[in-house]
This record gives sequence, structure tokens and C-alpha cells, in this order.
Amino acid sequence: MSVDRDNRPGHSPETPPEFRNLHRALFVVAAFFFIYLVVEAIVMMPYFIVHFGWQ
Amino acid sequence: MSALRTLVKPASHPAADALAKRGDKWFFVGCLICGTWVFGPIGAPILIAGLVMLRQAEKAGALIRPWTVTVIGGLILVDASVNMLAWGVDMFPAHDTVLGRTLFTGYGLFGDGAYAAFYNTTHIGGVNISGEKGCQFAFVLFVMPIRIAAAWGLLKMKRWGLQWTIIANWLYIAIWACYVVLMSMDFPRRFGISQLGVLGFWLEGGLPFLGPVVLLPYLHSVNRECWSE
Repeated sequence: MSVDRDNRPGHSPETPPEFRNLHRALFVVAAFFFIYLVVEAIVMMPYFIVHFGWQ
Repeated sequence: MSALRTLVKPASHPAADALAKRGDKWFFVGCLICGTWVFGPIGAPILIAGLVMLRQAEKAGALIRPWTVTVIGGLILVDASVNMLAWGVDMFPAHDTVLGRTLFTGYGLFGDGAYAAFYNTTHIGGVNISGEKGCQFAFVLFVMPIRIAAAWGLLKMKRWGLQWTIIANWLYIAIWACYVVLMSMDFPRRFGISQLGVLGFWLEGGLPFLGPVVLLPYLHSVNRECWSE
């Protein structure tokens, strides 16, 4: 990275120093929910088609 | 002048900046397509390609937004798209199509029985529980379009984006409270007749809605000067 900026969760410029740990923890939880929703979106329709068939 | 711009003096990287812009568009479109559920398997690769482009642009020297903002913006976009585009299939006459019927009858047999039993039997079509339909109108036509527009503003580091994301997520919590009561009171004829049963109640009424609980402490504690576009 050529710009002088740290983009890691908890270190990026939008995080005030007193909220570093909070933001790091929230990033982990948000990433979990994000992945959960994307995986749900991928498997939902194929699962319904395979198990219940076309309606 | 934004605090972000005064903190760093980005060098000019036209190719990397263009790649970051393209990655942003792919990410946005991928999140929205994912949320349709019907085309979810198509949306996921587009979304991932957008993230890869953003990462490559960052490595090439582009000044991109913090990754926490990207993940949180993506979470809002997928969630809002599910509650607008996928649920909109049930609300509009698309519920009569093969894709619409397959999606929602499957959803009903699997999790929420209201989408299978007596489905498409009222004059308005789709799910036949009046309270569910009321929530649907509020979500699809009112709260979720606001959330999608706000998430786009948030990702673009615009001040109105941050402000409207906060407002829209509080609206989401209010409607969630209404929705949980609705699902609890109609439990026997909804989750009582589905494959998942009680687990379905938690997977559909609990877990996906926890997003705003996570987001709001973050949105209220950020340095707002970064959203100064």
C-alpha cells in the first residue's frame, strides 16, 4: 500500500482510539452475519428446488 | 476539507482508482443480486469479484475506505435486499410465477409454514396472514429502500449516508419488534407446521435481524468527520 493509512479494523481513521476494541469485536460479528446472509442466499433456492421440487 | 483528506495525502493512481470504482460497482450489484435469493448463487461470485478488485486496488495504491465500512455496508445491502427484493416477490404478482412459487412454498415448508399453507389464497395473493402483509408493505416499500440508499451513501463516505443508515437501522429495530410479536402469536400455524419448527423461528426471526444490534453501536461511535463527502 503506497498511502500512509492503516485500513485494518480497529486501526482505520474512522475509529476513535477509545473504541478500538469495540470496533474490532463488532467487525468480527458483522463479518459473521455478512457471511451467514451470503451463504443463505447461495443455498436457499437450490435447496428448495432439490428437496421440494418446482412448484 | 475532510479529516480523512487532511490525515493522508493520497498519491495519484488513476488505474488503481478506476479498479476501486469498478470493484465498488460489482460489490454493490453482487450484494443486491444475492438478496434476491432466487438468483443468490449468481450474486455471490459478483460480490466476491468486487471484493477482490477492491483488495487489488488497495495493493496498487488506491485510497479505499476502511474494510469495516465495506463489510458493514455489505451486510446492510444483502439484508435490505432480501427484505425488499426477495420479499417483494411475495408481495407483487411475481408470487404467481414458477420461480416465486418455488421460492416461497419451499420457504414455507422449510421454515415459516405461513408461506406454504393456504398460500396465494387471498385477493392480494402471496402469504395470507394480514399482519405479515402489513409488515411486508412497511419493509418492502418504506424501510428497505431507505436502507439500501443509505448503505450506498455510507459506502461512498457521504455524511447523509451515515445519518440515514442510523435512522434506517432504528426503523428496522422497531419493525423487528412488531414482526417478532407477529410470529410468536401465530407460531402454531407458522413454525408449528414446518420442518425446522422452533429452530426456524430463531433462524428467521432472530439471527438475521441481529445485524442492526451489531451495527448501531458502531455507527454511533465512529468519527463522523470521515463521512464528509
